[in-house]
Amino acid sequence: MATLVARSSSVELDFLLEQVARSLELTASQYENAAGKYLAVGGWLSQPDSRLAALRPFIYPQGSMALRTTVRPILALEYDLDLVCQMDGGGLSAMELYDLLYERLAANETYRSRLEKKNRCVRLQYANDFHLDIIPGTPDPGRPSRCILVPDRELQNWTPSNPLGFVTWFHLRARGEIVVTRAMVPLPPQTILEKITLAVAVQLIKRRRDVKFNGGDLAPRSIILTTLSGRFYRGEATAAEAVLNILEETERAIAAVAPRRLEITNPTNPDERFSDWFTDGSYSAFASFIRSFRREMAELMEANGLPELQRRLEEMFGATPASAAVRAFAQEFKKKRADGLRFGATSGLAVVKNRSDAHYPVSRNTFFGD
Amino acid sequence: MPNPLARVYRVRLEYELGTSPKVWVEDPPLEPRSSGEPIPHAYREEGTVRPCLYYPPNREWRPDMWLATTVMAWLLVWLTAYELWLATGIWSGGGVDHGSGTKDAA
Repeated sequence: MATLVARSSSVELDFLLEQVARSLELTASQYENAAGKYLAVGGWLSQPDSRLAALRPFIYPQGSMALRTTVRPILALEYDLDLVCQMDGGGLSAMELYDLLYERLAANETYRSRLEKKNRCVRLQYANDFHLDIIPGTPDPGRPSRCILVPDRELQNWTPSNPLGFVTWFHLRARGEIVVTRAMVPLPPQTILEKITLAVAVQLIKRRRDVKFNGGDLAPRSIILTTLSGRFYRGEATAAEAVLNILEETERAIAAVAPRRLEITNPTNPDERFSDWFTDGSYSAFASFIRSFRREMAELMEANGLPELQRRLEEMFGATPASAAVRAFAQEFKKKRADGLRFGATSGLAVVKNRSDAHYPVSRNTFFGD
Repeated sequence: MPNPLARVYRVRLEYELGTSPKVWVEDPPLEPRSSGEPIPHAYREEGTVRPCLYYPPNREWRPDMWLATTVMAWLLVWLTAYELWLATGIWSGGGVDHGSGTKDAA
């Protein structure tokens, strides 16, 4: 069971954390840029007169842009988008499928000079700090529903994956649903939620990792952090509780299998083993990161006073997101004062949202004094 | 506490019919920022600092009012603004300067 935190996580703390996450997302123009490139490249790959047409290409995104968990990289590195180009590979070998994709991209003059062969994708490098990774794949005849096989150039063979399954799983877990069957697309929710608590939790965990490891090699991969978050999320209403519980459950799971390593696989394709990436060094760095972050979250939820909160947010997530969050809180405060603040007997003003215990109105006043 | 994120403060309210209410913050004591700027919207008298909660010419406080929804409530707002000011250096509570009579941009 999750440990009880003595001071319950408030709507106001959740507001601050959500603002931290929001300040780290791609800017609107970065998003538009990526979206435009996605459409253009997808369009080129699915043109009816191309050599790929007979393989019926099916294009979809994977990664943080598909999951809504983007976090701007800390060292001003590039941002990227993964595009999966799934084709009916038929009798083709892994390397044949890969080369077919490469050749189709190279057949476009604009793309030819920007192409780079990577282990499991073809990278399209753009000038403005952005690259598009195009992943070829073919439906996996030996595994259920949307599992695919992806060419791996090091293996010179296929490797199993299921990006579409993963994205669907994550969106279902964000709604607190358990995936009963892999073969079903769920009914969309009644309302499109503005904020997805699970996605905010993932953003915060990724950002804490970025600040802690500063882009170093030992930094645990995002897919590992994302999968653990989806696995352990239990529908908590606030990001603070979600992050704390995810970290606690992860810590527990690591301890339970020690000295063996935790296995982290794609829940919709157990043969896609994300944890194979770990080395002894990076696994022990990962375990220690989870432990210390869990402690920091518990302390954050106990913090008293805005100055202390800002200090802690700054240490954990960086100065810019921390001050953006406090500024947003000040804005809400000013807006509420103009509209009419309310307060409750024990927990004071309802700055962010009108709480049910905030019965009393604040009369109009003007601060004076020098 | 002024709001769920703030510290818990112990305050003293003094009021007698015929005078205007005064509030002191006893614990933790009010402090200026580390950069030395003085606390905005506060009276300095007899070596103490106390929050200035309303603008007398506007008649915002009148003896027929409830202390709870006026003075105490304004104190919650003042303390929230004070903590924000400690954290950011910017006063978000609005208000009027002594002497200048000009309004702060709220």
